[in-house]
Amino acid sequence: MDRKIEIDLDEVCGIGHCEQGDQCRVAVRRAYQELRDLGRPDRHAFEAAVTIYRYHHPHVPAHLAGEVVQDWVWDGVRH
Amino acid sequence: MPSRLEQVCVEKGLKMTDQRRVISRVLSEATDHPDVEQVYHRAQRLDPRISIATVYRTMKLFEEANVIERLDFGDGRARYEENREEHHHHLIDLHTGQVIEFINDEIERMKQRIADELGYELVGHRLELYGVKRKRRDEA
Repeated sequence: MDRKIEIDLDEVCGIGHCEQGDQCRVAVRRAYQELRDLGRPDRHAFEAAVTIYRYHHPHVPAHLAGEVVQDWVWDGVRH
Repeated sequence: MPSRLEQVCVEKGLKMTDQRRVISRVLSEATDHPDVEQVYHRAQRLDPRISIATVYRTMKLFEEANVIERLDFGDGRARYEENREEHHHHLIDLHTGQVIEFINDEIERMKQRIADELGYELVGHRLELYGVKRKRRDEA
């Protein structure tokens, strides 16, 4: 039987919990923004941001990584 | 003197009408990433006879001929820029998130060769490199 892993998002990489401080978040947001500024599609920029996040947090499941990154790069407009 | 974009269009075998010349000039001279409406207004200043429908058709034609590139800035409007001859790739710094653009002829040749060998005509690709600076990695 599959075991469900429950991870509190605040424990994944919130400020004060991430071993790397805020570096991971800064890198994720910067890459996303720079790719968008270069005119790359949102999906490409988002996937690159998730790749950076997972480099810093390889233990975090992909879907949770996506949720965290989505929260970080959210620009205030939900489509 | 023909604009840079007009020369590319001619090289690609597109028939250049007066109105297409005007639109290609507008796109060649653009330093921003105009959408169709902006191209239309700029083109109208050069030739008031140009209609919005002509601009739409021409932009579509240029895009299909790979003369201009459609960009997505996430604001719901398609914007365009002249398709640069040099094709850029991106290297992304995993520690800082910095995105570095680079051009590499070997990669260009390699992707073409791969498509050829597999019996395909290459129409697009996506390549991003991820890395950490060597000095930083040595310190770790």
